[in-house]
Amino acid sequence: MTTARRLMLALCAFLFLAVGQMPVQAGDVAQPAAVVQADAAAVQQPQSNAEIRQWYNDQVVVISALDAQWRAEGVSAEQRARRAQDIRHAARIKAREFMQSKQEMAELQARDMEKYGNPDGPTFDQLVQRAREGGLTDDSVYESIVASAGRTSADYNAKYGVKPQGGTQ
Amino acid sequence: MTLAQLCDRPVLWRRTGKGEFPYVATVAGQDWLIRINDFPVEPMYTLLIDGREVGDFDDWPGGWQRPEDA
Repeated sequence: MTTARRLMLALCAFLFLAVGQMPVQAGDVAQPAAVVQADAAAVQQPQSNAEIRQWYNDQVVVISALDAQWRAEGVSAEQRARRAQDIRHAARIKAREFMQSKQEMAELQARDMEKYGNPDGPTFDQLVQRAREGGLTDDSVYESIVASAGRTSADYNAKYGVKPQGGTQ
Repeated sequence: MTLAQLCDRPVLWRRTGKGEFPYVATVAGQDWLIRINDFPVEPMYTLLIDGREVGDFDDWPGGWQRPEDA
């Protein structure tokens, strides 16, 4: 499977999960319930935490490709960083919703609350502040956020055999 | 001993009350500590023994008993 096809599949899965609960708008083409159910079944939900992390990696891997497109469209570094962080944050929240153990989800929220004062991880402003405290200035602050949003912890993935969707690394 | 072998041992964990390091246990005279990571970016858990990182894992071992599992 080509990289472009993998990216497209990952993006489709993310969009399905992100907007799947939106109400039908006037003008939408209604689908028979059986077709909708079949589509939903086609996007299998991860079960174990290891599968959930694999799913997460497949969602955020599209960020670098999207960023290239945003750059070509002339989107500012700050706006690209905000968009990238939005995708990563949505994937983070969705991944945690997949968790079978609500106790573990609560533990993650307690951890994030302790570290960031927010149960769902760092806010965009906190990421900006952290980058500036690390010595970055101007657009390099936002570029670092874009880069980190699409990062899939390569060291961990290599160590534990987590692969991009359909990948062979 | 590998991480997999350590995960196969029966362990009775106690709560610490801390968010990032929620569980501690004493095993054969050693201090075992669990760290929760930035999941799903990172693995869910890291096991530390006597302050040294031994390994990371995503799914809680079946033989490890947390207070709420009792």
